[in-house]
Amino acid sequence: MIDLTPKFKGLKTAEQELQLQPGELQMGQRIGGVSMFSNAFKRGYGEAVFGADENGIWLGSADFVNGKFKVDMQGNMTITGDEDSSYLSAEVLIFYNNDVPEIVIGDPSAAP
Amino acid sequence: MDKEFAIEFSQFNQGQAPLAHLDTKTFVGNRGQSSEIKADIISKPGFLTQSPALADLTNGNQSGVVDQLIRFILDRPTSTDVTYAVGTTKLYKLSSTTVASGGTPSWPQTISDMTEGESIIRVNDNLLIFYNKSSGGDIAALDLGDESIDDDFGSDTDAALEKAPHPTAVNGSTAVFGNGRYLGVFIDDVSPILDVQKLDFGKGAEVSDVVFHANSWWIAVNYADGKGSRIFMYAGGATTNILDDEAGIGDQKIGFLHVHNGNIFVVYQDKTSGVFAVGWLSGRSIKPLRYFSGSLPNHRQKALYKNTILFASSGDIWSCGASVEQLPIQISKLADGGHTTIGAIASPFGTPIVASSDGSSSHRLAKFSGYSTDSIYKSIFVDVTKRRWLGRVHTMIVSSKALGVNARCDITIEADQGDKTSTAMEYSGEGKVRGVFRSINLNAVEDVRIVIDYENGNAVNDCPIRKILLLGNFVEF
Repeated sequence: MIDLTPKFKGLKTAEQELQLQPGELQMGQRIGGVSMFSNAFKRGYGEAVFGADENGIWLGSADFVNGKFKVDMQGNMTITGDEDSSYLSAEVLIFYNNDVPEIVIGDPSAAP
Repeated sequence: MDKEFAIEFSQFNQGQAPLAHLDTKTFVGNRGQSSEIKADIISKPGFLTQSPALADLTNGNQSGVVDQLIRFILDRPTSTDVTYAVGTTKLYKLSSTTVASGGTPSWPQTISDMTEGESIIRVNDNLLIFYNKSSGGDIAALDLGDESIDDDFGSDTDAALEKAPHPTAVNGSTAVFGNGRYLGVFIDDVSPILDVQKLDFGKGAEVSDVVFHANSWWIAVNYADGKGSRIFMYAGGATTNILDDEAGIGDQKIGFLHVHNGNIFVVYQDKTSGVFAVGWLSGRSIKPLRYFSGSLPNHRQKALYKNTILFASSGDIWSCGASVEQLPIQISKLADGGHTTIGAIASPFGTPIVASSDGSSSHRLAKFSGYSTDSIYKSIFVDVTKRRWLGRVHTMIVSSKALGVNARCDITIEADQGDKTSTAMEYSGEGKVRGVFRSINLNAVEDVRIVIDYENGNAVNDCPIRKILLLGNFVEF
């Protein structure tokens, strides 16, 4: 008796088919609670985030732009409170009161 | 030379053959795979049986209160046996059996100026209903306490919407939604925050679906009507203006995204070939899983059913997935969608509910119930030649579950790629588990396939087939 039953090689179970290939990384891979993206990593949730991307490093916000504490790629540091903020670089240290410079040490033209 | 041959058709859970979407008379596939199918192979894996039939919910057609195409059904109950659906001009309240009519407030409720309901999400104690108007769109809000509706909550709080698809997703108090080229965000706080243009994907872009998974929003965006689509990843807090990651899908159009067991499935179309596919997001690649024919489903036409993804295509309901992970992924046409146009599919109470319309005056909101006799299975063709010898099938042995009263199917053998067909052989009989047919009026042929037709079947007792064995011999020709 000749068996003519159709046989299609290559059928995998769902378990086998839905697997990452060796070396393949998921988008936004997480390692120990840190989220690794193509150009950034972050740890935290909502606004309570520590992150690093092409702008620099920051704390206290979901992204660099609104970071409460941040250091840009040139090494300049900004700390922002509810009404007050400060800015520190190699050239100048400024304490702001409602966005108005109140204490300036160094060259004020170096401020952003 | 051995002149006897046998062909076994079984393991019907394997679904459609790999090339069936391109060739309805394909020879490529496995023993249980189909070249054409409208049948149920997921409810009783290993058995082929009739499609589920549809039964209208009480008040669920134009004789009741469903006088328009229902376009979206909220896929989760807001309380025991309660959910909501939106049509073209009205919001509906429904249970697993009934579409609410009358009462206080009086159901269904009209939403002023709405011409197309797009989606509904629940955010805490409110429903947000996203809809289009003759120009632009808006968001209505329904208070789940008194079920009063604020028709223009969106434009009052922030701004009007684009006239576009509005897929939605929610995580706790945060929701995101598609708004044409934009992604909008709603955060339910002491002072609710609504920004209908939080992210801008640029001119020519259209958000086609959004889902929440792994603390991130996943956003499907089509560019230039499907010539260039991408999936973006966006932080779960939805407060930043920066996207976290991106995967290019290529020159294909995304229909919808669906999260299941931690995987993101993508249904999309290659417009250059007219081929539709179900794939999954693996790293930054889309890995195609199975292909189908028909039309591209959208965010309103997807649901989970028996561990598989249910979706609409050209008026039919398809299933893709594996009933259990130890079986192969299958794709199959599961059932008819009712009228010609399917508006929405959901399974808020477990059993799938389908909304459809004939585009004129007939509309229905129906759920799976009983068995349909509009059900058929055709295997792949099998070559039965050996050198110059042709094959002649002389015996068919059918194995099934024990049949109930009036359960029946009719089996024919098609040959020579459909040019010849045997007389239909009736398989029925209460308690029957096996049948042998010896009078098969087919001469020697080049190829054969089996056709199992349930048009004379029963709506209460189905006819599950486990195996069909064809026996034959080679004939010199």
